[in-house]
Amino acid sequence: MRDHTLNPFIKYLGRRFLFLLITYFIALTIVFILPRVIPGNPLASLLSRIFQQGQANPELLRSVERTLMQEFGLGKPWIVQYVEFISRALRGDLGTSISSYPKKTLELIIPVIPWTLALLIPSILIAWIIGNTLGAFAGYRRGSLVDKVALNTSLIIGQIPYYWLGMLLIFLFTVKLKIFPGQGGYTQGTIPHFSINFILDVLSHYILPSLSIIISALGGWAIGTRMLVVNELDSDYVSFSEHLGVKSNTIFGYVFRNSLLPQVTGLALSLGGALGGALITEIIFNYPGTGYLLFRALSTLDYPLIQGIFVILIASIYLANFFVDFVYAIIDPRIRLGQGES
Amino acid sequence: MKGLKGKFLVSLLCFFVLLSLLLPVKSTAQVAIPRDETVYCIGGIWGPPTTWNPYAANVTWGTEPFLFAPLFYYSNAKDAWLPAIGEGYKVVNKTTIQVKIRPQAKWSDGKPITAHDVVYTFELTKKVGTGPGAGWDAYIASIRAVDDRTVEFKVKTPNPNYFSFMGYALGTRVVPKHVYEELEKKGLTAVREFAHDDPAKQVVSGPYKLFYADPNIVIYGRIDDWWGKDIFGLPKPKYIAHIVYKDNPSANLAFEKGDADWASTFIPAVYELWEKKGLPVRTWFKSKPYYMPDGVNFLYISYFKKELADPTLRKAIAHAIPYEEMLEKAYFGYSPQAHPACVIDVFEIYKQWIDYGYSRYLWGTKDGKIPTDLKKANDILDKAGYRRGPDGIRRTPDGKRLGPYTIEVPYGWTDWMMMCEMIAENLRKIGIDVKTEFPDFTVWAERMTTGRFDFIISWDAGPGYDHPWNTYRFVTDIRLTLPFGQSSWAGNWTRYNNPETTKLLDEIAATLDVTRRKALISKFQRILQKDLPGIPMFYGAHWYAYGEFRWVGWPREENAWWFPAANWSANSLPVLFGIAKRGEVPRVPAWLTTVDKGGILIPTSLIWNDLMKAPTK
Repeated sequence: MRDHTLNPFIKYLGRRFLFLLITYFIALTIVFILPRVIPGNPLASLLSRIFQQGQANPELLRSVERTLMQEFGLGKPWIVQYVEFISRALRGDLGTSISSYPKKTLELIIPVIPWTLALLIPSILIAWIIGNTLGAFAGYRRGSLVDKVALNTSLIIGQIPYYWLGMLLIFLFTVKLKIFPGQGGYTQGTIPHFSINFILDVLSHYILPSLSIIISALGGWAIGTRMLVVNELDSDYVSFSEHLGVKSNTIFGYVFRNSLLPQVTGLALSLGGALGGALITEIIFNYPGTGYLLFRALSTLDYPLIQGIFVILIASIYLANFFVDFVYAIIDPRIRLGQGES
Repeated sequence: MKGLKGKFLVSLLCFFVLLSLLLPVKSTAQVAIPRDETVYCIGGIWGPPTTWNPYAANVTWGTEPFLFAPLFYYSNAKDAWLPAIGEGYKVVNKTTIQVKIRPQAKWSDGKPITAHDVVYTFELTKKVGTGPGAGWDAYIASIRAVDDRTVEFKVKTPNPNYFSFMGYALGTRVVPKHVYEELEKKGLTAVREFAHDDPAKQVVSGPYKLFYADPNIVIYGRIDDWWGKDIFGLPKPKYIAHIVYKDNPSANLAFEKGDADWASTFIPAVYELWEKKGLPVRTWFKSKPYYMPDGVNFLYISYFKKELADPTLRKAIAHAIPYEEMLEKAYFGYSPQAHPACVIDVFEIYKQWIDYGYSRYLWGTKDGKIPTDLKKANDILDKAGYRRGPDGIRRTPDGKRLGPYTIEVPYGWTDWMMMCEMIAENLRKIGIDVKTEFPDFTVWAERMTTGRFDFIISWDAGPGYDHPWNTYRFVTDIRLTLPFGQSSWAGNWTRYNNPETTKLLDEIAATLDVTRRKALISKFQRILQKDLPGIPMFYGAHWYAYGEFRWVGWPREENAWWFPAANWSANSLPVLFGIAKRGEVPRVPAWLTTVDKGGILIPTSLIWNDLMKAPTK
């Protein structure tokens, strides 16, 4: 039945939003369950540190253990913990970290987000620009030497896992050539401050992880665009323009722009996933971003921190998806109308 | 096309500028501290700093040794107490002790440290559940302020526990009442979650306070008008800094290069640093075992599997451990084999507690230590009716196969991993099917504390004024633990249950008579070596090494002016008073000797004596 009173656009967005909420809720549930299925004791690293400080008074250990179990509600049944987690998450309280107790998880997550975004967004954009340009040229000069070289290189590079590439880069530029540092966001022991030296230091630490992301993402974009361009070249308007004697540069411009549309979607999605996008890169390079924080949280079984990071990661991916849906609905009436009728 | 690209570049640039504003940059902080005024440490902290509040469960490294002073610091090598905030003690009667507080003692905000601060510290701990002196109310009947400068502690009776009493009354750190009262008004959560991380507002009693901290570094700065400077002088380094390294190798590299001075990490083949590389680096001993001991490390065998409870089987296992080979190959000779009496015999003062005669008789060796003897192990098992099956693995007399079992330590603890391999190999030789397993630390810790393991290597409670009683209690007291499957960190992970030893523990702690205590400890040792709830293998090394690239005069075997000396040790502060910048002559402070030699250190035996001679009421 067709509802004439309701704007199909609003209706479409409403549907998407409802869908988003349901999937987000499911994702939260999975995030809650997963760390608890991993064997191990989340209080272990904390309590063993008390041992190490030469304070192994049994009474102290016992009371700390008891207090922490209460504090984090770890002794309670899962279902109670779950209800508490969800209700707190809805109130924007992502809990207190266990390994960095008494810091709030948000206090730990927020400072590392800029590092990850600064690493990923420019790298993704650069890879996207270079990859697409390369792919378009290759596609336009289909069969030429340029195409063959570009296609084959892209195919090979696209298959290299980015973490492997990261390790290769560290081996080459840090161990062998000693040009760039392979660890951290800036030299260990320096206090972050505003100065040319510090900015240069940050940049020199930036290059290798960024390069590993650019190189490995580039191939995929290039191959994709090449395919799209090749398809586009077969379309009527291209042959028509050619017959009209339009300059080849101009035709290339049209073709490029038309084949770019699906790649824009891809870009939006990978930007949306940026926060969790390069987990392993960050681990390899010890880069102080969300991925590295998640790694540390996992290795200490810090439930609240793991949950907190995922809640933010998933939210950012979902929001990106929603945004893409929104943009699409504006650009392409077929989508909103088609959805509205079904 | 050009327009599109241009836009991208511009937006990219804008993005970078925006992000650089977002980065956690503190432009007000000093960029670097002078290297020659700073002692750099390694091995104390491996993750971002957390809090400087003694009521938090995980205070940041440095808080205990440098920021908050106790009434008395304890040295386990000298077995003596160094009066810090406390000036002296007075024994009122056998159950009551009074501690005098120094009139000079002040908080870093200028307010005096009083008896009321001490009383409040304990009361708040009881309310919060954690904190300085946690668990005191099990041993202490009352704590009260007699006047502003006198605190009175009464031990709980009957069956007083003098060990715990002494530890709480003398060794507990004190917090500022005026700061915590304000927090307490907001609730106990506010007390627990107080980070105390603002250098400008931090109120401490020690000679250092927080100077700067971020996830990568912690720096403490000296308080130049510290209240104790007329009594103790000032500690020599203006700053103490600790970079948060990623792992042992990167931290050790910094130490080797002279970028760090005070090391508390495991360094493989540390002697090569001075013997082969000629670096100005040392540990406590110049030759083996290089490190002082820091407790007893055991092979714990859980009582979870009934067949492993047999003392005869455990005795055979004790004979199968390749002590010497294992310590040589896996531990670089960093520790001698532990004495089966579980008394650390490297410290002269503790030797009096070993019943050498019994150990010699039991184990048939000159020093009374357990000999590695596979033939003997096999004989013991043969005689006890453990017959080998067709697969070479033995069966219990009632037919149960010995294994498969696992021996486990956390993954990455390479020295212990190698020991596990060597022990497992020898156990297979005597017909026990044991495999090694190296799980993640959190998994290993969970199995250890719930008692659901077969064999693990692990530590004890460490040496103190209550050694070896403390170790005995940790290994055997059933009251410290919970049923199998429930996590309990407090001790007795194997769930050894023997009413006789539990009773003895209480008797040892309740007596002030040294002769009687010796007799009771000797009695305890007999049961311990017969039942073997844990097999003492070696002393865990007290990781302490120093580089004299920039700072000289560190305490060592030849000049043993203070111990414990590791930078994470809660009692290591005096180390910083006796070192000096390279080029200057280090002078050990005169107060760092015992009272009979003109210093201010009070031997534990003196306090025992005073209590012993005191009237009952």
